[in-house]
Amino acid sequence: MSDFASGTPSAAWIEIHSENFFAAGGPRIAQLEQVREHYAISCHGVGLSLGSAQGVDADHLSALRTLVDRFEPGLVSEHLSFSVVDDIYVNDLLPLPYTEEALVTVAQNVDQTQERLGQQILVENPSSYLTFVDSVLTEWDFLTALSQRTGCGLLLDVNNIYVSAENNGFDTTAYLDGIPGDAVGEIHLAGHSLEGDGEDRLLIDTHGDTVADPVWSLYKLALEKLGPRPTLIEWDTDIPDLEVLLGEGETAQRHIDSVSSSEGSSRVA
Amino acid sequence: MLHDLQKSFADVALTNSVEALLPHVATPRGAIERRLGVYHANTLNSLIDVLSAAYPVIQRIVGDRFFQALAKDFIKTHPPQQPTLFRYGDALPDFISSFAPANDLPYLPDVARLEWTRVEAYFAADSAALNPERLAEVPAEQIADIKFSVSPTLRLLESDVPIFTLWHVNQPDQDRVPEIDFSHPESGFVLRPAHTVMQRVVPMETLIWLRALTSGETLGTATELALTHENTFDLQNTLRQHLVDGTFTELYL
Repeated sequence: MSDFASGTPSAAWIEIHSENFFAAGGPRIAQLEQVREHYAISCHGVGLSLGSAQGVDADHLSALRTLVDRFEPGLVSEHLSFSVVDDIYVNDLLPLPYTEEALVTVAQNVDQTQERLGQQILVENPSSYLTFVDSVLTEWDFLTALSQRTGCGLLLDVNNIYVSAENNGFDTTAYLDGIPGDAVGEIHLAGHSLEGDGEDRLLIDTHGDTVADPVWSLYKLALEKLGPRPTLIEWDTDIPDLEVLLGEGETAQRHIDSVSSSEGSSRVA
Repeated sequence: MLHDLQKSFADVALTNSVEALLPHVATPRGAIERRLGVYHANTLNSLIDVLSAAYPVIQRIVGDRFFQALAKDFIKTHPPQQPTLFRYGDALPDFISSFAPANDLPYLPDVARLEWTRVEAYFAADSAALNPERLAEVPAEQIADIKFSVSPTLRLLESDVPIFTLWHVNQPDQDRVPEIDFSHPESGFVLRPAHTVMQRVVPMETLIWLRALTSGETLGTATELALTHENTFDLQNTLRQHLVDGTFTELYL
């Protein structure tokens, strides 16, 4: 992050993991104050657990509200997943069964979050390695219904769509056709890894590599359907030189520019 | 019930016990155990990374393999209870005390306490140091009545073993560990004056003095307690040093 404290690298905005900045003070907060002077901020949470049957945690919401008040992010986002059960936090974004019960639960949690923050949030589709027998809705129908019931926006992770589709056998085009395009406020791209072959073939969402070619193709298709959208390249493990990361950003920007009719208001971070 | 499925999934992620979740999963049986294994590996490895970042000195002392085994046992018995992971790991020092394979390293829990103290100081609230001129304005006859409020980053430590020395010789830039007298007790403090965490070894009487001031005693009482322990306690120099360090944030009469 120190590269960005000086304001030198070209990026439209900086996305942070909200929970990393829940501290009362200290160097991380101070550095974010510096970054804030040069770039807009987006707060991307990983710990709220919007899918939890036990509901979202009031203290966590308060800490998020404090962060939002302090840094006034342009966007606040979280995941369609759960990570808290019986007050134990599992540090992963676990997928939900797409049932009416889960939809009611997530909608309540999203309502409560948006009310506490006083603003809309974006909800991101997860990557997954399995599906549930209990599911009665597709993921895109679930997200559509969630957006309709709560007014939340969607954060479309194109890599996650591709990874989940390959692992669980659904059609990525049907996914893009199925989601309400107007609700999509941001797009994520990331790298994944491939393990095994044949029946053992599994794509793992690592955020540790360049964006794969089929994901670029799906991104292009998404932009054609949705129009330009602010796009973020996620890279959390095996972080490369900043130049590699910025190069990925330039590729995404070219895709956006090619679908922008007038001036491109959407930018890559 | 959504809750029961989530409980079963959390058991997969934390302990790889898959039986309760399997009936809910639509993915073919042949592939599923490996796929569930990805969730378990993600959860475990990311939490081990969190502990490794908080306890680099412990990891260097015991080695990577021992640390992994320690971390895995800790995660199983003390999974995170909240999602702010820079607060995860506070219970590790006590856990090490009860971790049988670490029994022949009796200094380990206290070194871990020092590391956790540094983490706490790193994330604690910011505060401005007391301006020394405030002290100069106090009439001489009232000096003994002064009470201080201390920096929210200040942590006091007392150990039967040389924790600060052990910490220092296990920094990444130290490639040769010197002879250490493990029976030598050390007391001291951790403080984050601006953005860098510092620590200092102090004599026991200074620790007594700091402890008294931190708990709200007057400067007079704190100094008497320090002098009772060691009659060579040097108030002027000690006070000056702590004004320079930024230990105090405000004074009251």
